[in-house]
Amino acid sequence: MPIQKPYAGTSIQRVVALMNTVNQSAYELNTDFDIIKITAGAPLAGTNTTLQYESKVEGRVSGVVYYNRLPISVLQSRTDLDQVDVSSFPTSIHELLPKINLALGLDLTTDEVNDAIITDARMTYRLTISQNSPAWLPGSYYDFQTTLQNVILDESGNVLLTEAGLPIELES
Amino acid sequence: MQLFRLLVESQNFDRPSVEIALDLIFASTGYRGEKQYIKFGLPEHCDPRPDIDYDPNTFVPAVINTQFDMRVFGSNGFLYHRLSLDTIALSQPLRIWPNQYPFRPVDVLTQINEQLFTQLDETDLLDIEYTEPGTFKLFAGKHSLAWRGEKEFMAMEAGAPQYLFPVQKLTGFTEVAST
Repeated sequence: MPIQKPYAGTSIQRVVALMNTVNQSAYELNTDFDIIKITAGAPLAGTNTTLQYESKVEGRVSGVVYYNRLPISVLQSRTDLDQVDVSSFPTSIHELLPKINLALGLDLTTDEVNDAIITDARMTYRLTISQNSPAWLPGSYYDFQTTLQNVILDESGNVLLTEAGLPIELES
Repeated sequence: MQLFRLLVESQNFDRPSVEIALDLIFASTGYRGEKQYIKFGLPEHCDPRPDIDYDPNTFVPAVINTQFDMRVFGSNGFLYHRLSLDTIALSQPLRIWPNQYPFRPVDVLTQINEQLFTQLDETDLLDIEYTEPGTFKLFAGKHSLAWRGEKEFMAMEAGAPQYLFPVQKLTGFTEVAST
């Protein structure tokens, strides 16, 4: 089954699209308005984020909008996600991000996910949202599946590696 | 001087005036206080050298909790520099749409703060009445801890403000299930 991409687009693109869709407008970031600040918390029910914008359009004033940032753990309920291709060590979450995006149908940028060095082969790794994400809830996380599923484990459950540091895969 | 420039250039004014005042006091005097341990009196204009930028222009009495700082006890005060409302930068003129005329600044505080990215309260602005549409000035309240001076604004015809994004509550984001 092909991956569906309901969360495709960079976070900032998705936020701008949300602002325009709800307001039936087509304003462009940097041309028509600037985003001044995005902060956690909002006074309206059903929202958890306040975004302050500055208008550059004559006759229209600056203001705020409130919306809801989702925790990235919502990916747990999806059944169409691929495994992330992990084939060399050491690596890092930021280095893997293009592959993570491909497998999960996302367009996350490095500044909105926490980096972590990966030196050991595992079947899952944790993707944690940083404080800078406009669309995803900071601090939320998702343990993504890797392609290291069919590997040989030792008695302690650790993945056995070849001399080159790659996991020993089961022969089919 | 550098600290004042830093504060003005950062435009970090989206916080209560007492917090801005503590930064201004630090920039003027080098004293770093914490708001929960300082009780301020009413600030008064006091500008012996008005021609010098960022020179102290205000005196505020203050009582500092000795549990926070034993060096200062009893009644004290700070001579510091309050910022002009005009230092708040805007790319568009400040426009106010009152519900009706006449109106007072306190009636339109939300609009003012949303456009200035501030947390001004009724003490920060002079309580005067504006009776008709036109270009006027907002004046800082005499006893504002952080602000002095004035800022021009346009009083529009009574009605809802013309925000770039009029719908403030966005219905999103929502979880999407696999199909």
